[in-house]
Amino acid sequence: MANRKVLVFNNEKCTGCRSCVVGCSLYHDGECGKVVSRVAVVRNERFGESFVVGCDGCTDAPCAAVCPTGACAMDVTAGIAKINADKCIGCKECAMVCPFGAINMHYKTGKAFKCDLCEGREQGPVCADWCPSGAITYQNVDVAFKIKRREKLTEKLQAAKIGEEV
Amino acid sequence: MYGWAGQRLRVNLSNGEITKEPLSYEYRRKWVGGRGFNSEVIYNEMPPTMDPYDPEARVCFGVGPMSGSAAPSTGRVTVSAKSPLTGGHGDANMGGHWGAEVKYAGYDQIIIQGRAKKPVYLWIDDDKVEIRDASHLWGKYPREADQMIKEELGDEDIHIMLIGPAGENMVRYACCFNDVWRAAGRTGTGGVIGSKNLKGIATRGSGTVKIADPKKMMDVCDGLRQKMKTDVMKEGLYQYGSLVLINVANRDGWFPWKNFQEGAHPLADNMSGETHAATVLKHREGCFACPICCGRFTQIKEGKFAGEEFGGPEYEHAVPTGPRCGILEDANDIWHNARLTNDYGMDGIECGGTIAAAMEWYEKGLITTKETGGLELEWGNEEVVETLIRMIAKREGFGDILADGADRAADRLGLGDKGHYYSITTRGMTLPGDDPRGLGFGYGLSFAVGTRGGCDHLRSLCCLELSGALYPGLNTKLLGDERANRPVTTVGKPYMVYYEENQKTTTDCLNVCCFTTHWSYAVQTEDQVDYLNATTGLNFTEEEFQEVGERVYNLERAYWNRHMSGVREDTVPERFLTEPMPQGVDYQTNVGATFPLNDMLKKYYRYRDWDPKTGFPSAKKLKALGLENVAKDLEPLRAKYVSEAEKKKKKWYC
Amino acid sequence: MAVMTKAEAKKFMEMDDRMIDILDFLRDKGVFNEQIHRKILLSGYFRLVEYLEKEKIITGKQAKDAQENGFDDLIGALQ
Repeated sequence: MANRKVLVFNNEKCTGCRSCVVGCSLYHDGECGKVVSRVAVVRNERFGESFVVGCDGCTDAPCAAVCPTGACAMDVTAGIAKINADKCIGCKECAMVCPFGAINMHYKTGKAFKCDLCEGREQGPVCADWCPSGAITYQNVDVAFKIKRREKLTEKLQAAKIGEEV
Repeated sequence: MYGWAGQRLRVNLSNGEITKEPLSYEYRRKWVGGRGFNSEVIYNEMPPTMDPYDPEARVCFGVGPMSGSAAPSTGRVTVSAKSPLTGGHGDANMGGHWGAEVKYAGYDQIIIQGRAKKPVYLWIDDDKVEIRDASHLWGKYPREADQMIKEELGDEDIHIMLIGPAGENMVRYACCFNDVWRAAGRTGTGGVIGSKNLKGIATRGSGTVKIADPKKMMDVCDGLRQKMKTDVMKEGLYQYGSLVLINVANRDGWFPWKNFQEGAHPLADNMSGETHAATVLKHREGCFACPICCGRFTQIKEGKFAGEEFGGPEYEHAVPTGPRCGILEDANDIWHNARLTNDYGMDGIECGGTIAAAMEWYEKGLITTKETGGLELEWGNEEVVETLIRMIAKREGFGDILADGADRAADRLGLGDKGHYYSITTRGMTLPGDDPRGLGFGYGLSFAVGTRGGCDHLRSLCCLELSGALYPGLNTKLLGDERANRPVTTVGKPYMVYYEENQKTTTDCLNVCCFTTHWSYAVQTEDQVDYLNATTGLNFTEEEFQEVGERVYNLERAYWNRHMSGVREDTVPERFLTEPMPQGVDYQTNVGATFPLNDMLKKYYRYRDWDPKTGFPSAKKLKALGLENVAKDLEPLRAKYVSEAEKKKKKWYC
Repeated sequence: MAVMTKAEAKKFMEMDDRMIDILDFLRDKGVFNEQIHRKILLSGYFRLVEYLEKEKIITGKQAKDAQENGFDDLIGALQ
């Protein structure tokens, strides 16, 4: 588990550009659009706020737990729940139960579709690869939190003007 | 259909008629989209005699085959109309995400004509199109109307084009926006929209852009995005926004100080991108599919304007109601003034330029407090400037005169040629914040001939003469001369402007952002041909790509010619031709420079194949571009333009 | 291949902006027709060098130098 790589979403850095959205849709579906993307961006343009919403890679995934047919199931090797479209009956239970709203129903098939970490793509997930600001990164989960701790500490130390290196 | 949606939406607000017109292959191949579609409609549907505010006037919103796709920066929209400011061809371009949404809703273009009896807004929900009451929205800032419409329609994730109060009041340089803050700034399209009693267009699109060769498209787009990761211009723009140019402008003497009396100032760094990022930057913003993300969101933290926040500003938005009016000591004044022009909904460049012209009239004694209603138009007086911005937006008192733009104001005040000298315009449109004695001789040439009113950096955006130096070999590759990569030289500039104008025009037809192809040159013409072909399944060559731009550009030029605007109007404000650049800072690089327009203009006409006697495109060139009808239109006008009667008319605007 | 005299070359070297003059000159000399003139003018200097190399007006080495160093080298190769 220590070596598991996940998508890490940092909303402080999100510019709202939707490069992730359009890249995901092209890579998976061969067409470009928000409705066929497995990652979404939410914006409050009035206030200059933007947020990226994607699959957080739950280890005890509710989407897999509620699926009545086993279409949505944990892929232990990949470290993420995946949906087998052949088994999916389009009941929407997974989409409704996801705490983040990261699952959607496909306009062509009516079946659920979700992030699969761009399985098979050499450079890793498109969204993390294309994100211009580092709001989405694809990292080893332990390393991600080590980095986060140092970033937060550095901020605090700089604010208190104590030392330069941690 | 690949790339395009394949249809345009036409809405007649006089009779409520809503039609969807299919766009043939021939039409799409010839005009491509965005600015191309728009210019074709303006040329063919708006006779030169029509007033810009006539109920039958058209305002067009064009997106292109690339809009909403995964190519870099595909959210842009071209907004076109006959300009209330110049009387000629007008258009503006805005970023944001509305352009992608229009494409997803299933349209390549929206044409608005007619006039509603009372305020309305349009609601486009895929193929369902509704005209809805907007009386409760009239008078609201775009940020307020955006919130109200989203609540009313029950969807916070839609995208909306909106005008502000200035557009409703038909200020001649009012503008429109989408996503609240992304402005289609120039030429006054906001007033045309307002004249139709249209507050905005709300849009929701659930479609997609179909890609002919998805694998190829993925390869091309991925390659360009990888390149962008280490692109030096991207890095500067992402970190500091277009305000990254402030310190460069100051060093190279194109920083607009006091109506372009000078080109540099010791305090310029007060408003630089670096200072902005350290003091008032709340958020970095990106338009649809953009790898650069140069957008800013500003929050003023101190002083009397503390708490104000807004999207932006860009370099060009901040300087006109700032240093151009002599305001530079307290940057919060500058941010506040930019917030005002956004909330009222007008072109910051034209607004600040008009106020600065008035300030110079006041300085030179051409007007007094009698004309200004008691206001003392002294350089750097923030209270006066911000009062004038409000008065202009509301068309009150002296503001009503300034709301017509500097040249019409000069005429309304009876100032004659002396007044026009300080208006700093070509064809009635004012210069952006780029003094051609510094940036640059290519920019300056394109100011003289630009087809949306001269004083416009975005017709060529020939940054080959500035950021081009960051891409060694690029000027050699395109122009055959690396020496062209400096702004204060005439070397290679006529060809540079010709090439860049064509390139920029086609870029506006695809409707991708020119910051990926000018400023940054990470995306070059051959890359655009690659992603265009991968998306549409067609076989454009680089030559055809450039030719589309040449075609649209000549069409726009011919529209001006039909308004009797040609070689005599191809000039830049006299200040730049005759006043040597003074010294503003000791590291300034262009002290003493004047702008040598005439050294380059004749050569440029040869590239364009425009008749040097009239400045009209030759019939041969028009026919080669498939513009036979345009050649016919211009035929009887060539002799008229050079007649004695016509020569007597001094044309500051049409 | 020599398509211009030393005097003609000197004139071109002294010009600030050379593309249209050299293209018109080469077209009038019969090096290419109107269609090619137009194609090169639209696409840029690198296309001119490509064409001249393809038609063996300049050698591969001369083309490489011309692509790297611009008109100064190209004019030298055409004298």
